[in-house]
Amino acid sequence: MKGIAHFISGVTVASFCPWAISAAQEGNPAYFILGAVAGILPDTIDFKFYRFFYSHDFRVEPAAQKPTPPFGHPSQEGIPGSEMLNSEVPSKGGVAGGRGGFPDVVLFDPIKLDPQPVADAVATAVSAALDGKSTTLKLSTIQMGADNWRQYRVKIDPEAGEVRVQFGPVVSTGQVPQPDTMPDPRPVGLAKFSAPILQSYEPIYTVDIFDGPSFKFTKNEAGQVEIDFLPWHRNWSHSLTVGLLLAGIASFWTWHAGVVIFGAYVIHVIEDQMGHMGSNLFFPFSKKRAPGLKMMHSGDAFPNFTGVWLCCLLIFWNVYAAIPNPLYQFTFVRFMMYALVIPFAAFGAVRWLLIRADGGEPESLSTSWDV
Amino acid sequence: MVLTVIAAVFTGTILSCFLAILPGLHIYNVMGLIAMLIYWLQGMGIAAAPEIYLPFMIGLVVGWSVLNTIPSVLLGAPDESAIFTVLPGQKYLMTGRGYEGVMMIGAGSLVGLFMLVFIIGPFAPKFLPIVRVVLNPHMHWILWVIITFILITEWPKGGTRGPAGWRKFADAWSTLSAGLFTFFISGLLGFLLLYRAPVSIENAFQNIMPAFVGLFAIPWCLLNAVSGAKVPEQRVRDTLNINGDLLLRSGIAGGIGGGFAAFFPVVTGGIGGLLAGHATAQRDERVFMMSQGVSKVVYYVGALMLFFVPGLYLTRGGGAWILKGLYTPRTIGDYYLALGCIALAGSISFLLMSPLTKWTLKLMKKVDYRLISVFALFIITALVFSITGWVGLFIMSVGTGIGLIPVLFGSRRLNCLGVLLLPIACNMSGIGEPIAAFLGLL
Repeated sequence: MKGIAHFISGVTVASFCPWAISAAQEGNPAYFILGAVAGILPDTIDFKFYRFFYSHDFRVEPAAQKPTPPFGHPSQEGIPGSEMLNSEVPSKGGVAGGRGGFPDVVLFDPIKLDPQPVADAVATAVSAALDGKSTTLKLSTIQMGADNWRQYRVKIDPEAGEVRVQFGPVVSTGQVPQPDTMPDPRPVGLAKFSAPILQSYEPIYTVDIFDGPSFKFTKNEAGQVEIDFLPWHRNWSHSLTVGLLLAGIASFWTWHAGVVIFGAYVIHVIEDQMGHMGSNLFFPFSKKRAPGLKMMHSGDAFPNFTGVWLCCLLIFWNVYAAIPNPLYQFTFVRFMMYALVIPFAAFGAVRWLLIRADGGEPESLSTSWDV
Repeated sequence: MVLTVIAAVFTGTILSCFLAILPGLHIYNVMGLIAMLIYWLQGMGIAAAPEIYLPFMIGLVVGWSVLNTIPSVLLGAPDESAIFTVLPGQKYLMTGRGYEGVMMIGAGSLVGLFMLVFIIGPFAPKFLPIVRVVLNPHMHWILWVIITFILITEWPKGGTRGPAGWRKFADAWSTLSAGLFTFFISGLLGFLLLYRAPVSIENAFQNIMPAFVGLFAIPWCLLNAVSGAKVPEQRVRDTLNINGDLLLRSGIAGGIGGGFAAFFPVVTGGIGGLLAGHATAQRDERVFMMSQGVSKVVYYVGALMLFFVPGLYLTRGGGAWILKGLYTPRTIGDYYLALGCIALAGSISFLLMSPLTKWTLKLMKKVDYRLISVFALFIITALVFSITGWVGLFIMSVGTGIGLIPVLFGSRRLNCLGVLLLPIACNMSGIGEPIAAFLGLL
């Protein structure tokens, strides 16, 4: 789920603790802040800390991203082979020193949009894993200007034993395709690999906004190469044991804080488990992510909004229930009817009528292209 | 009396047209000046009738909140250095679709007005007093939780390339650190203004105004004035690429954000928009733009409306505080008068939106928009000086320095709201005075 849903879920957990409400009534917001922070903490650890320290054996980056290379980027350190002009980008460029003689930084031309270097890099990373040692790969995004990104897709096809890469339209930061930006012609980069593949996520990976995806390829006991999508995410940080550890540390202050932190942390992991990727639930006792229930995607609008709204209502109810002699009397069922059932039913009915009046199909923003 | 009210609403709305076109000028500053004028008239023995100034003020707020979309889209041209901070409205401007962008946000404003008058209006007297009674003792922690959300959801914008390690981490955290620094330095300024108010006691109600102008308006005008961007030829389209479903989704997202901001103390429309944007997870930039129109109107006009809701009489936002000094609503008649004025002023403003936008586009053809920004800079600086003197100008300069940090580092400008959020949240939790004492302000 999205950050705000985890955040408010943590606050909701705190609101179920009577000591949190009592402390708040006396002016102490600590338990609610703790709940909020613990609710979003697993993602904060991953996205704001851990991913910057997760190293990759192969990095695929656009060569023309000159304006803002970060510190440590080869272009800033004067390493030969990394200072390329657009016209000079080879199909396999970059800095030597990667596995199997393949460069660890593969630069491709974001203007000419040749997908072959990307396909080669992915296939090489997959094949290199057959040696027995895991390989990691990072695909970078291509920023085209303010709020514009060039989208590309990578398909790892186990049956055909090949990687297919193709560039797509320019999209906004909301991942909405911009009109008339589909490149023409659009060649497909194709590279073969010999490893049998075990997919744990989806076969097509879309690279577009902010930071690009990472992959970890590991050979398992059956001789297959397992693909671990975003290996730095939902791993140790999303485990119940880490939640327990943090709660234990907080309990040195007061066990009340420990309960709030553990509850908020656990609710985050449970919410994530409803998606596709799953989490490494019992790190360090478990090494892999347990598959998600695939009930929703983390970015889906409806479940996120419903979750946030439901949390707000539960917080309100818990706060109301803590009033000794409330001026206004109402039951939980009546409250939920007025605040959840009737508004959602009204919204659904009005939306259905509006969509019907407009031709019967809601507008879709999905990018209608396949690699 | 009805004709008097209609005339007052009409006059207020028309005046707001001119005020709204001027970038950076806030309607609460103008309302403050009008309140001073009314007090002065009362001192001279001339009593102003509430049937005149209330509809007039409502017309001002409604008209401004609908029409100030025009400068925010048309006079905020970004150049490429504004990477990551560019808003969809500005993107429309830079692709020659500024008119379309303005009208789209205007359509959102109309949805917001409809929600206020026909959906929230009839139910507010029944439900909002209950919500207030239940949540009143908990406002402080809600505010702290909102602050936590603002700080914890600032997104690292760098660190996407290069080898893993501390350098990559530092690159990513430059924007985050700038955001945190902006929030806390703004908060420090807020403490200073709250505990050592430098503005004279006669103008105490405008105490925070110079800081706000410095934090938000001046950096915008400066950025426009020095921007190297060339605004392309603008096209005027007769139709908008929107439908009922998009309007409904915008209404829900913007209505929740604006309503939240209107109801909770210190929470502004920007914060409400941020929360609603996250909560409703809308990706379509048309929905985003229209929801901003809804949120803005529901925040500004809704806050004023809450002041008239029977059984609630909630004072939220500068406009309500200014009116509170002049008038105390007592009957349901006052409430329906306010709702009627909102409906009338909203209709007039929306009808004026298209011609005013076309007029502004013509003006932009004749006068460089940078000159308009310089003119606006001069007007708001003169306004700050006329109300708060040299001290106010100094506060404004300090605010400008802080307000430029997010512009330069690409972090959220919303962090500047630390000027209000931090001292008030501390005060509501009872730790404001000890902190002020620690800072040597007591």
